Amino acid sequence: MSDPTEVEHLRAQRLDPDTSSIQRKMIRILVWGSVVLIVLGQWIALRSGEHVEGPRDVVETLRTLPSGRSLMLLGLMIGLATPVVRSLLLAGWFARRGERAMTLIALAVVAIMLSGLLLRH
Amino acid sequence: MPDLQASNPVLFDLTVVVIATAAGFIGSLIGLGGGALLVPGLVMLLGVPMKTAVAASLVAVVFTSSAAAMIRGRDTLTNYRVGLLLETVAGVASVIGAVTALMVSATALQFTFGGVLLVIAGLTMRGMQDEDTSGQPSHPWSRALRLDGVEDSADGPRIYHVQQVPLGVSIMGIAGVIAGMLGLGAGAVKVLSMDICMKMPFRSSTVTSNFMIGATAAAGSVAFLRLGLIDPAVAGPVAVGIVPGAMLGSWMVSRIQLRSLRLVFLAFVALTGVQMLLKASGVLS
Repeated sequence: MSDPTEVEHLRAQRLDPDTSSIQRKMIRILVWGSVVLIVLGQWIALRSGEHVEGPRDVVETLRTLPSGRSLMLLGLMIGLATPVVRSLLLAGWFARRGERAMTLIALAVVAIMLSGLLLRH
Repeated sequence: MPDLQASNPVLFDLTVVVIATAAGFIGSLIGLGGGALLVPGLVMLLGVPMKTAVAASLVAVVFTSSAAAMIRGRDTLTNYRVGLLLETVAGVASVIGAVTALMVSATALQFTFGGVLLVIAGLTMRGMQDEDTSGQPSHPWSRALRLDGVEDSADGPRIYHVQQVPLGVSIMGIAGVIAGMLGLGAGAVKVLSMDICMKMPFRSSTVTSNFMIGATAAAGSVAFLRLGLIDPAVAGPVAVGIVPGAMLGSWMVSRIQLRSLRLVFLAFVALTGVQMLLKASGVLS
């Protein structure tokens, strides 16, 4: 039998229900938004006979908005941003609780995720 | 079917969606991401080039992690503190691994990682039940960072005190280097590190691993995206298929028996280990 006082203490260390709900809503918006853009982009590409195969430069592709391929890429980018936004939300939550070490750890994870942006061809 | 994408794009997309749904389901259920299922599916069934499939697999892992998190109740199982701590080490280590990849033979690494996966399968088979750590003192790091947790199960709340944090962190460092060198998410080692070394409950370990693999794969995906290596024609349908599969897998985690969950994990890790050893020995291309 677990000690009820310790159980309550440990539950208080979890993400609180409000932040948890915000996180879930935010993830839903980003993921479903991403899926909608990808499906829309694919539909446009199929209808117009646009060639979407093969990797290409991101910036050049986005300049062609709202082409099928660019919408699909935008959808993917929104989906890929989800873990970054999620870790930023956690960093904010830890900061509000005054947990400096965990705030720094969460921000370090964000920095690691974004380090790929520094790459050059 | 190498030309299916050109000859019948709709059938190609639907096939990718089906493969991705299966990968998302397994990936979110056992916290491994599903790349090990997706890449062979895309390459062998649809003739997708290996590089394109690997890039799509990274995208798939990010979507698996995010879609799994959309299920209510998941947050009570995820130990974000442990996940973030281990992810910092794994992330830096994977960058080191990627940078030093050219210095070590890929075959030797595949042999090593394949062997490691089989050892993990063996360790998982040996301990099919969670260890009760509620009576053991927490590790000092665990107290400082408040890593201990409580898992709500059918039998009521179960406290766990996170053990051997430096060992778990060290294993994550080694796993990160190997993952960076081989371009893998190393979800199996993440689960092992939490379950066997840090004595966390298996369910919490898989769910926390799911959170972590999203961050690891996001780092790789951002790099692939920056270099223009992500093909939307493959990664797009993969993302669309992954979401329902991962949501279903996530919903199943707290409903499936612990023993069954461990058995699925064991089978998948053993298969991936054998696959890697066969690749290293040249039997599989």
